[in-house]
Amino acid sequence: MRPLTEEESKAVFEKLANYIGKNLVHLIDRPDEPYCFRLHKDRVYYVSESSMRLGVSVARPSLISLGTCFGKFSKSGKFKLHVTSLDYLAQYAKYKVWIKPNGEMSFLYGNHVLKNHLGRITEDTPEHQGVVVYSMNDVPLGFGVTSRSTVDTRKLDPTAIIVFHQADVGEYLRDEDTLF
Amino acid sequence: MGRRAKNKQGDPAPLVESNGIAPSAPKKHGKRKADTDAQSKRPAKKLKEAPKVKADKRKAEEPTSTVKAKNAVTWDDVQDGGSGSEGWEGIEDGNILRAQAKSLFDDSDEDEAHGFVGDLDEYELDESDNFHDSTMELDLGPDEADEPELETSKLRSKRSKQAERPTKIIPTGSDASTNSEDSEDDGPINMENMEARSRALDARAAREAELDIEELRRAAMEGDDDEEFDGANDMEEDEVAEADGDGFVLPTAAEREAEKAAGGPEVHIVQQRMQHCVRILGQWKKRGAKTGRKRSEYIDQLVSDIASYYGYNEFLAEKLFQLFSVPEAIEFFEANEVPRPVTIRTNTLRTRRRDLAQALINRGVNLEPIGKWTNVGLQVFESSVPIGATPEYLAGQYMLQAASSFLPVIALSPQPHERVLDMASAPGGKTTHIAALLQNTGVVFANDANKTRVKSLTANVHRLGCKNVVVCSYDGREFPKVMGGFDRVLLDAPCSGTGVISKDASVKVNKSERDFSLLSHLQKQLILCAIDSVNPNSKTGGYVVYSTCSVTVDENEAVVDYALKKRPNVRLVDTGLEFGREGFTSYRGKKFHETVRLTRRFYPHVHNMDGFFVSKFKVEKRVKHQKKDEEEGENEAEVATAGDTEDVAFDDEADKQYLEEGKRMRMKAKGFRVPPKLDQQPAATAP
Amino acid sequence: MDVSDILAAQAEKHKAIAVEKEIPLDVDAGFLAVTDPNPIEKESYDENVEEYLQSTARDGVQVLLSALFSLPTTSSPDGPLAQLPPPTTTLPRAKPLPKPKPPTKWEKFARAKGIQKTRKDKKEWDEEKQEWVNRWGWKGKNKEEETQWLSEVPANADVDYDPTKKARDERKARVAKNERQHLQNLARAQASGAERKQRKADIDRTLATTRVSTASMGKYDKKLDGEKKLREVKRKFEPTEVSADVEKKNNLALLAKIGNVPAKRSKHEGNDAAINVRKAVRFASKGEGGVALARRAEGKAARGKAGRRK
Repeated sequence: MRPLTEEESKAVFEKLANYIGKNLVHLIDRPDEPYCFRLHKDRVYYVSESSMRLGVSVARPSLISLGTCFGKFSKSGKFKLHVTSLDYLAQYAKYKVWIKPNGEMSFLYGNHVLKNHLGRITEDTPEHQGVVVYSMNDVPLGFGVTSRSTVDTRKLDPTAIIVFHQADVGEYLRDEDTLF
Repeated sequence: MGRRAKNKQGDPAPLVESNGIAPSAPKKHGKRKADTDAQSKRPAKKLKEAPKVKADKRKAEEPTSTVKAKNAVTWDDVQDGGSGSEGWEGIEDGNILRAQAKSLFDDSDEDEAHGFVGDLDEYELDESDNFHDSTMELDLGPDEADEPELETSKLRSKRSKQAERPTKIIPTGSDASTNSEDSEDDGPINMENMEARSRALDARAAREAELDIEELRRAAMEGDDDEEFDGANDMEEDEVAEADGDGFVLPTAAEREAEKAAGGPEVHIVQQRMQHCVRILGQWKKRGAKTGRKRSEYIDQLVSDIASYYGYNEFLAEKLFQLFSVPEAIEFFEANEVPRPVTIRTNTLRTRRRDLAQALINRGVNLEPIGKWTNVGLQVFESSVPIGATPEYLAGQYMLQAASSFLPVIALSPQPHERVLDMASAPGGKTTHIAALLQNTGVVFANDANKTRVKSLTANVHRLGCKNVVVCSYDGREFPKVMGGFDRVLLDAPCSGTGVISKDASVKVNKSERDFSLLSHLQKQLILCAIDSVNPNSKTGGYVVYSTCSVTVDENEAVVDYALKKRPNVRLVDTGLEFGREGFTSYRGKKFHETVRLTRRFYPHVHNMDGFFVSKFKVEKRVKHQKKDEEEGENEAEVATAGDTEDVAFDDEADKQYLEEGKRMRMKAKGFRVPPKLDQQPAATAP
Repeated sequence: MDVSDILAAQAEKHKAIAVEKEIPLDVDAGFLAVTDPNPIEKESYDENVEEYLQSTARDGVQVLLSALFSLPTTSSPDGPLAQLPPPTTTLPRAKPLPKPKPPTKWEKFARAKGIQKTRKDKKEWDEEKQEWVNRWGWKGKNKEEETQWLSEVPANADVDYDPTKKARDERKARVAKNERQHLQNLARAQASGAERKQRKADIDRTLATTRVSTASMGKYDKKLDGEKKLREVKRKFEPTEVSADVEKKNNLALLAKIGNVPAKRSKHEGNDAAINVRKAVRFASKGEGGVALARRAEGKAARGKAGRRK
């Protein structure tokens, strides 16, 4: 476990900013308790400072996880957000997409969001913008990237992809072995 | 066990209610009112209807007996002084509770109060109709409001349920009367009901003795009254009764050998033989003398029959058999053949139970709150979707978790801002429960020695949104070294799993004596580590909860007793669980500490949850005085022999030299620098 | 007969090849170079620079060519070739002078003792032969003892005593000693310089580079015995437990830095402001866009003015 270097922090922040924009400040500067980012076995954890200080006592090979895992660094130094970060993304998301009940399972199996599954979408979403995907009763299901801006989606046919799938909560079942 | 199929209950899911508690359930106001009316009228009606019921019994299959009738019957029996009515009612003690929810739904259940196998289908149909209704009207309100009314119907359901299983092995008159008394005792609240049950069961031995005496007296007066009564009930029963009177002969040891050599007896023979054995053992004073055989012979035969009939190995069958009275043991074995209810725990970090229930109902899941004792549990009866893959599940709104595994966490009752350790935490049901109770404050250390299981633990921790959890993978015995100073420690120790045989039947054959001794050794090590990891100065906590999913004494009370002896600064405290039986304070010649009664045991046949054991320790500051060191020296010997050293006097003066030497050796072994031998004041010794 | 014309013409002709200067020009035929050391005539120079320079250059070239034609020639298929003499002009040295060699051990000692260096001739006078012979080398004087046909044997000598061999061995030992001292001197000279270290570092670096300069980054190369493991770059990270405030400050600073980079955020920059301008415009114009809004505003203003005028 160690703090992130500047490049690593930059990679993480840029990814997060794609979904929560300026709200990223709220993750770093929290009113309740100081939180910090820590890297452990290529994974980035977001953890309260008190937990982190206790977790330091655990030997490196024995420490499995602490706090919330945000994602992992690939060998080539790219950062990939995991679905485990959904909690915070959903809390601070700037752009949201709600999908109809008939599209829920499809999305949870790792498919993209089609237009006919689209329930609602935040107004004025630009294209290629990170969005958090919710079910119609506001349960966060995952996140992805828009393929078109809100205005452009009107003209698309019903089977067109609106949101490219990035991660969904179904991965807790599908990728349990590789996620952690 | 394929050959047990015919004995199984028709559909386990709907039967599973209970956990001993009133499902707060579908409210059908009209019906309930009717029920209460019936209840209030009962004393009057019972007299009227009693004769009719007797008639019913003779016909056995007639589905018209009403609720009131049944109550009347039982009442009647009791009035008769528990005259040993060998009726079906008395038998399925554990199953009684299962019927509760059913009775809430429909009177049609009661119609088959005395119905047998053939009625099961109809039963299920009724049931499903009701559940359908309930999905529409389910009111998950404050869960308490309706209890007083509910309990009346529950009484009836109990009765109705008793008749359900056709092939039970232990019909005893004393049981019937006990049950009826139970139902009379039922308090206004389910919880109390629960307690009453356990109290009643504890008191059973005494009552049986009483009844035996009464029976003897009656036997003298009325001769073969029993047999007549049985005959009136049922043809099969009649046969049994006759056989047990004269026809049945216990095979000798030689015969058993021969039987075994021939490839074992046939199933129905074994079954009958078990019935006989149970009957005779149940009334040994009256009947045992007639047989001219030793009681131990009957017990040997019964144990070996149980082993072959339920598929246990002899060792385990005997071990479990010894835990209970004879009829109860059979109930226990029977209960292990039936799966426990599917239960889920609401993740209060993400949602509320009411919202979750509504969401699941919309998905076509049929569920109800588990009971009063928990406000996060839901019991699933049936579901049109896989309950482990709904969007709600994936979003972490609930956790699939056996009802029994709520108990240790409830006992632990972690408070916000505490530091908690879960020593054997995979797959994370209890850990996430703790984190939810902490409301994501403080820190939870979730440890599990098994690296592969740790993955699912981590996945669950993240799925349920627990942000204060540190997952690590140590052997639990390393713990005070890795980190200490916890406010609370939960040790759900690795165990033989004799409480969850219904879940994992492989336990029946793969556990040997050696396994048990190894496990209890490990458990003893772990519990000391757990105690040492606690910060005794903690303002809010300082508690250790030790639990297992096993029912054997040497994994539970023996371990607790060991910890009490080894660590003078801990004491047992009340677990905070209002139900469950008290732990044994003495078992097969072993005496445990008096306070061991504060521990709680849970049985599948009584509470309809997995067999479980929960104990709670309070760790206090170590008081250093001369006595303690000496005690520790003694304890070693004491534990080995499990003997009582109270009255053996030690000559302190004579022993002093050896004690000093022993202490030096111990410190040396731990790696301290030991002062030279001549020095009479070792550093660690306080005056 | 007037021959003055002829003479004039002759003189004219001569003038073409004869160059007369106060100071004769220096010709270095080896470099094909001519140097004119005469001072510049100011008058003609001021009069016409171009002409003056040209005439000076012509004179120089003329002298050079005359010199070339006076050189001995060899014939070749391409015509006669002049053979250039070695150049006479000394050019300045391109590189700096070599540094003086560090003194050998003997030189140091000699200087300390004030011993003058004496040079020995290669040849030496042989009294017996009455001629000059080599001091060493072929038939060298130093081999004289080995080549005696008769030599004295000490009284206490071994049975296998060989005076020739003994003399030769002694000579060889002297040579070896000298060689050893020479090498030691060289080594001493090397060690004194910092460049030795530099050189060693350079070699090491080159070696390390070559070891990983294969397709497998050196992973499957044969290892030599005793080959040292390559030392990796040791990365330095911040300590795990840093004060939360410091960390927060660093992160916020980084965030500010990222925010300044005009990444794709520029696309939807309006969204970060308090007012979403695009949305506001769309709302105000009822979806028709800013242009329509402006047009309408103009129209209204015009109508308003008109109304007032009424």
